[in-house]
Amino acid sequence: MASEKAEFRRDMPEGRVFMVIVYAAQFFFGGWFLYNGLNYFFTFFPQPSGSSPLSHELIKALIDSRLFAVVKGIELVTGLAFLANRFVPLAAVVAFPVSLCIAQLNIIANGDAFSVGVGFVVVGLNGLIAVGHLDRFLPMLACDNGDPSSAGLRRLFGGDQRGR
Amino acid sequence: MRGWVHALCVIAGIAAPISLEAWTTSAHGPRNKAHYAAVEAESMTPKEVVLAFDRLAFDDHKPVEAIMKYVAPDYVDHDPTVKGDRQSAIDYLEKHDWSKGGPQRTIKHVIAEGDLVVLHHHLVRQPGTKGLVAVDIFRVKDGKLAEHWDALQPIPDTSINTHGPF
Repeated sequence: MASEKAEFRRDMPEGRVFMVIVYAAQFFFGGWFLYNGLNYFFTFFPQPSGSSPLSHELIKALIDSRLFAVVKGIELVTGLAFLANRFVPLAAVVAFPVSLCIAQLNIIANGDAFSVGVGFVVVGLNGLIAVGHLDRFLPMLACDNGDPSSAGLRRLFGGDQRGR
Repeated sequence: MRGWVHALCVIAGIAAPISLEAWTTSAHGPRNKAHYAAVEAESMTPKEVVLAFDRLAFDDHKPVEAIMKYVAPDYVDHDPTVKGDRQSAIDYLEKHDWSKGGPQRTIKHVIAEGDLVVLHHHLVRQPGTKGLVAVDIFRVKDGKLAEHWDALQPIPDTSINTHGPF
């Protein structure tokens, strides 16, 4: 699969352009998440307290319940993965719930033009990274999923390269 | 991806969002200090607004600043000694001599219900006097004091009440 991808990128100019666009999204998004994750723990900039009374309350509840630390931890780890260009498909999936929450908070709870833009950009970037690795997710799109098995575990731990 | 290209991408990936953050939180950005201060004010509960007003006006001796910050432009005051708008409240408070600390106000009880906040306090306008038992009622709207009622009772020199006014 990886060699097919490489062939596609080498042979087709539009494939190369797409690759560059996805890489740009990945590194920007990675830097954004890493910086915001680190900022929670080290406070380089004042931590945003919400841009509307509703989001202010929501962020306060997240902080008080310590769920915010979990969110920021996910941002930190996935941001590192995007920047290191390692485990990117996994990071795109793990980061997606956080991206959706950020979009929801910005678009619905804040609602001003700047926040709405931020909401769509964060989901757009995360979605673009995922689409850039769509070939990794295609097996998940199977309608007829078949029976559960230990094939995945055997492949993961190297016992059976075929997985069956 | 070659190593040096990857390194450049990492640097750019970190620098770009930090630069954006620096711009958005700068004085000209959409997330400047004034923006967050306004949200903070809007997010305060009615009780927090009243106590913040009280601290700035009476503890920090900045009554005009407190009124401009926490009192709505269309403020209504039912105190019979003032005309009843925001400017009349400023004029009234400015009459006091704040250089000597201004009126002394000791809050005894704070009761908040919906958009109403009731302060029960001991007010001493002239040092050395017993002062007044005061009840102020504020209605708060959008993080600002919108309406005010008060009831004042002078503390007598002698009283048959053995519990005192507070």
